[in-house]
Formats: sequence, structure tokens, C-alpha cells
Amino acid sequence: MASFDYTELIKEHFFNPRNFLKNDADGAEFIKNADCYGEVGNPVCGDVMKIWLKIDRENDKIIDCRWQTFGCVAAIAVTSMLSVMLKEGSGMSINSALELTPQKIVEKLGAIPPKKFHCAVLGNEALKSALNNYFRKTRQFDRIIPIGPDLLDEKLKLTHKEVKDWIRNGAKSFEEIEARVGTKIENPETKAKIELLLKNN
Amino acid sequence: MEKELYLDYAATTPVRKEVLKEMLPYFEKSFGNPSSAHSKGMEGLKAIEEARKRVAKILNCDPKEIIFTSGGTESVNLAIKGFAFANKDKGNVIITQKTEHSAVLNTCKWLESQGFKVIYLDVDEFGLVDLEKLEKAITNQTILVSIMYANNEIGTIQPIEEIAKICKTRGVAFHTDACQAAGYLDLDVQKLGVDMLTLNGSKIYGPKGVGLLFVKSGIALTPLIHGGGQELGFRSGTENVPGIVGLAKALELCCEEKDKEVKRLIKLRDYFVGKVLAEIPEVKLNGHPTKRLPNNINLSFAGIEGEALLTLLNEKGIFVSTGSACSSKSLEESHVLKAIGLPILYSHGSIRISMGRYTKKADLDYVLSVLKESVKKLRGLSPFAKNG
Repeated sequence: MASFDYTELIKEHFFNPRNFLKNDADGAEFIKNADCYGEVGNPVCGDVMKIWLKIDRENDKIIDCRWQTFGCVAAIAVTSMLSVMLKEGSGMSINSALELTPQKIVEKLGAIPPKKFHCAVLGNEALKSALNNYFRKTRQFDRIIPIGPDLLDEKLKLTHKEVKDWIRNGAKSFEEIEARVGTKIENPETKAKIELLLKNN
Repeated sequence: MEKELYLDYAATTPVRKEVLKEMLPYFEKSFGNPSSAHSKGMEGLKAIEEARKRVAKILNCDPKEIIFTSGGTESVNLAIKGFAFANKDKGNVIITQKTEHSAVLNTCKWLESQGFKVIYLDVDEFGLVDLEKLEKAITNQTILVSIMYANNEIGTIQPIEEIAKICKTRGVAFHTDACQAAGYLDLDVQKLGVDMLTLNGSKIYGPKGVGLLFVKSGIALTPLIHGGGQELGFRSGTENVPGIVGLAKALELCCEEKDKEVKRLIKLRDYFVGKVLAEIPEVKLNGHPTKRLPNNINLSFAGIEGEALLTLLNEKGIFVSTGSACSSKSLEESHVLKAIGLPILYSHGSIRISMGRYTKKADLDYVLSVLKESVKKLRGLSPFAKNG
């Protein structure tokens, strides 16, 4: 089913996406040097977004980013626009990034068909997922914004939704989950819950 | 956009000049209401009765067995609901399959809310219905089987004659939605052995807003539209005279040209599919390799999404359709691709290319080059795709 009621700006970003991660040596280099990584969505539901960020720790701001998206026209345009917003000027402060909402991304794009709004929600979550990865790595647990309501670990503010998405996107072992969390998972109860999710998903 | 290349003939076709020419007098000059007793009315009446005869000749049935409707959806509704209501004393079970057009599926779903029971048969990986399972599903409560002739998305052709035999042996009525079949497959209802058959004008270079239902004499139907008792009381409302005339002409033309066109399109289809499978990695042809409509090409590309691909093709003037749809929460895969068990990474990235009488080999070569480029571009953005 087609829907061509997209703004010129959405189409422009779709046809000429900015800042996406290329599957080449440069892309691999970016991943290696990225400070954090986030991913949301899963192929069962359709859209999947991945975001890698470089962070200026001293000034607490995002200085570079790359992304990959599996999804429709709107999903691709949203991630592209988000990357432009994050890199604008000398980069977005982490506090501003935390305040970013799906609505603000849509405003930048002009408008989005109502049934595509979930793409902006996903884009925002991808960003938050990457920031959470950074916060967990740097042990700033108080700054984490949980993705989804169902907490799996209080301290890490890790949710069922986050872990399920990772599994559906290919994480097969506890170690791979831990790598996505960004820090050691010490709570034995959390460990047990993740093992169970790995078994059942 | 320099080029315009329409490859969505399974959605609808343009009206042929010959068809339009026959229709035109009935808009202005011979506009009379066929129910009127005067000469102007007679002109309309004669036109639709003549059209009925022409259609009956093609379907090899009696003109009285043809009911003109507003299109495929109405015909399907009349066949299934009309039959269910008229025969509810005999039983309340209807059998269909999971890959039917939404006209059939949603009609059946509504009938479930009215106390009928519907069995939705599975299909195999090619989209074919299992005849043994169908036979087993029929009980003394079954009144009707509705299985489409050829699938609109993946083009799979069902063994209609065999299904008709099973239904006949078991004393169950059989309806087939033949909207996609006209122009490509045999429409002889005696040979097919069907009790009801749905056709419409908009897929055969005829007008939109007109269709027909063949109903074998002796089959009882409850009309859905009540009024002046037109169409032998099965379908009230002043007849769409130009539409009916156009439908008859379009059907005649596409059946006359059938054999030649089938040969030509199968050659084009197999050429194009062969090229795509050889030149683009991680792609699947959906549907049956040979038991498929000559004009249908349904492809799935791993790791990308259909609407995005459709949009890139559209930008190059190529008009195709996609089975995946974006709902309010997520992408939704097509019910047909789900029924054939296509892996999820493939089913989101599917497009249907449906050819028609104006499609040429050079067009397909252009599509191939744009398709290769577009798939590569989207895979370059996708976290799931290897470069292709």
C-alpha cells in the first residue's frame, strides 16, 4: 500500500539520507570508535533502527552519529533527520538529547502521516537506547530513561522490551546482551530473567 | 519524471479504446432506463440483454445465469452472503482459504458474526490449497466452498476443476473469484464445473464499477439489494448500461486474444524472473513457479521494506504495488505472504509487478536496472542486509 502524502523534506531525506553507517571499512571504523550504540524495534514488527554515537565526555555532548534503518520511507527519513538534529552546530548536548521527543523530530520534518508517527517514536527510542548504553557504560544510572514500562533491573533501568528487541535482532547469548547493556550485569535475578528471555524468544 | 511505466495491471487496467467506443452511445444518445416501456428504454434493455448473451457465450452458460453487479466485491458478497442466507436451513459452514482477496475474507468474517461458521484452509508454500484437506473439511453442515481461481498477490492458480468435482460429489456449492483469471485462463463454466463465478470489468481493460456473477440455474440466492427487481430480482437498481456493454466487449476482446497474450507474457515473465534471480542476491519469487498467472511477478527482497522500494521505483516512473502495509503501530505483512510461510525478513520487502498488454521486453530491462540499483541503495541503509 502506498502513501505518498509525505512532505518534500521527508522525501528529500529518504532519497538522500544523511549520516548513515556504510557497510564498509569506514563504517567498521566508526563502530570501533563509537562511545555507545542503541537499537530498537524488531523485524517481526517491521522497523528496526540502530544508532551509534560519539560523545565528547568533557562537555557532555554528542559530536557525531551514524545509523541504519530497516523500514519504510518515513522510518528512513526520521532517522536521517534525527542524525542531522544531533549533529547541528557543534553537536547536541546530552541534556537536550534527553529532552528530545518524537513530536520534535516530526516538527523538523514538517509533518508526518498519522499512521507513520510510530516511526518518530522509534527514532526517539533509538536515540534513548544509545544514550542508555552510554550511561550504563559510564555508570550514570540516574540519567537512564527506561525504554518501556516493564523494568527487568532496577539499577540498570533495563526493560523487558529492550532485551526482547536485542534478542529478536540477533543477540544469542548472555554475553551479547551484556555487551549491549554496556556494563557487567551483576544482579543474579536479572541474569536469570535474561536467560529465560533468551530461552523463550 | 521522464518515463511512466505502469506495471500494476492486477490492480486495475486502462479502458481499451474499442471498449470505450462501444460504451459511449449509452451515456448520451441511448441513455434510457432499461425498465422504461418506451423506445428509449428499449435501447438500454436491448443493450444489456445483448451484452448478457455475449458474456454467456464466453462463459458457455445460459444468459439467464448472468447477474450484472457493481464489481467483483459486490459479486463476491452476493455469492457468499446471498447463498448463505438462502441455504441456512441446510447447514451453516462455509469453507474458504487463507489467501483469498479481502472481499471474500471480510464477507466470511461478517457471516461469522451472523452465526455462520467459516473454515479458512491453509495453503502450501506455493499458495496451493490441499485437496485432501478440503475434502476432509467438508461435513454435512457445509453448504458452500469459495476458492479463488488465481491469487491477486502471488498469482497462484488453484485446481478449480478438481475442487469443483469434490464439491459436486459431496453435494456442496462452489463459488470461485475469477477476477484475476479473465484473459489468461479458461472461463468455460461447464468445463470448470463451478456453481458461481465472479468477474469484473476493471481488470480486463473494461470500465470500473461493473462486474458479474455467474449463478448456475437452480442455485438459490437471497438478494442483497432490494428495489425494482432488476437482474431477475437478484440485484435491484437501474442497470449500469454503458458499464455492462463495456464489460461484455472487454471480456470478448481479452478472451479472443488470450492464447497469444498468455504465450507472450509467460515468455516475458520467465525472462524477467530469471534475470532478477540471477542478478540480485537474496531474493525470492513468491507463488508457484509454473502454476501462476502469466502476468504476475511477486518478489521478496531480504532486509528491505516494500513501501520504501515502491517509492524509489515510483521516482523512476515505475508503478508497482507492495503487499506490506504500514499500520498505526508497525509494519504489517501481507496475509497471503504470511499464509505461504515466507520468512519475516523477506515478507516485508515484497513487491508485485503485474504486466499487461502494453508491457514490452525493453520495459522490463529498464525495470531490472532500476530495481537492482534501488535494492542496493536500501540494503545499504539496512542493518539486516548484506550488500547486493
